[in-house]
Amino acid sequence: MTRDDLADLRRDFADCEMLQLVDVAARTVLISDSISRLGQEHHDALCAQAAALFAPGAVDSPGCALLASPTGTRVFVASQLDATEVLCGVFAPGADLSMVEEATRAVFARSEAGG
Amino acid sequence: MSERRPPPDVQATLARAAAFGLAPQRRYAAAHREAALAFFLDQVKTCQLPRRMRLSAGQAPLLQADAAGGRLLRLGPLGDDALTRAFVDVLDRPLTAEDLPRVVDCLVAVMPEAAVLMLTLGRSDLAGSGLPPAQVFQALGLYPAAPDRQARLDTLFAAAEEVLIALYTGQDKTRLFRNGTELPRSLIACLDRLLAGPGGLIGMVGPEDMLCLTGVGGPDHGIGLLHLPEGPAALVFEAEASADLAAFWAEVPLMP
Repeated sequence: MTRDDLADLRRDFADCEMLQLVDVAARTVLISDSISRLGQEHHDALCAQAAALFAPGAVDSPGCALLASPTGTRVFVASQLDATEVLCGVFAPGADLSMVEEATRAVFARSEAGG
Repeated sequence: MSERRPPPDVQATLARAAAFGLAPQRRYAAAHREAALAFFLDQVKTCQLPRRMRLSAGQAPLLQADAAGGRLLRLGPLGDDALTRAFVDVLDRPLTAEDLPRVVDCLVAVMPEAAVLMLTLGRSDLAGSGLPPAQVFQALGLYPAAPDRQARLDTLFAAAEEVLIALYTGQDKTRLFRNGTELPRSLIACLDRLLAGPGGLIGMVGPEDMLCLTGVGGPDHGIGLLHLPEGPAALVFEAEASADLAAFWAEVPLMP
């Protein structure tokens, strides 16, 4: 997945404030795209949450997780090919999230197919 | 007598003019600061297409802002240099939900106690998620307070009755929403692990949050972890409802 893929995906969702691709095994942010420049602590906090949700070898790792709060929703979608890669997104309250997982999986599939 | 309507080409011209924010200046005599804040936020709510708002008290500029989709997207230069320096961290950049406390402080500081406000609208091309005025109203105490957790849960139960399967509160205590639909033992074991503190995923759920999971405990179920007044709990629902339930939970506090 490239930075352009991420930027295109974020633009598809008007209420998306930030997207980042993380490696949960290495606890590293691989690429990110956001509506405004965010401090590294924001990226690190989101990466830590992804690592907690998708810890390698965990019995109850989900396919998709959405953490909803009054300040918005954080969305986490794991790659089906490489479970250590997780796409994380921050969405404003009131955002329509119904297509986020499907759109994310489509980007994963395209990049994994080399397209 | 039949109602007279302008011809279609005039309607189109007027619609374009309104879309570009060329409507006449709006004037409002605010008797106090809360009235000024309410006027400004009500104007934000009316901006569906991107607009640049310039607010002044008489001839004295107060602030510039961008709005679209009924949300406050950006605060621009303030009329007062000292205030501009004090709130430089939230000026001239896209706003997000995390900026709410600072934006509220900034708006309170900018608005005069009593003044005749003038608002002009111009075209803007800014996009973004921004802040819903309802959230700002609530933070200012000008709206009814956000419902508490039990009220939010009751709202969720009423709105999502068709997709909810069960509410599990641990130790085999289950409230079933559908008669005759017992939860499988394997799913209950999974819920017990998720709710077990401090290692379970409930540990990353804040008091006002709900964590919706799919792909855990079976392909047909979604699980929502949350805190009830009596303790941690898990909602079980149809998997395809996960995104809608999460969106609903995030939006309930903003509902009037």
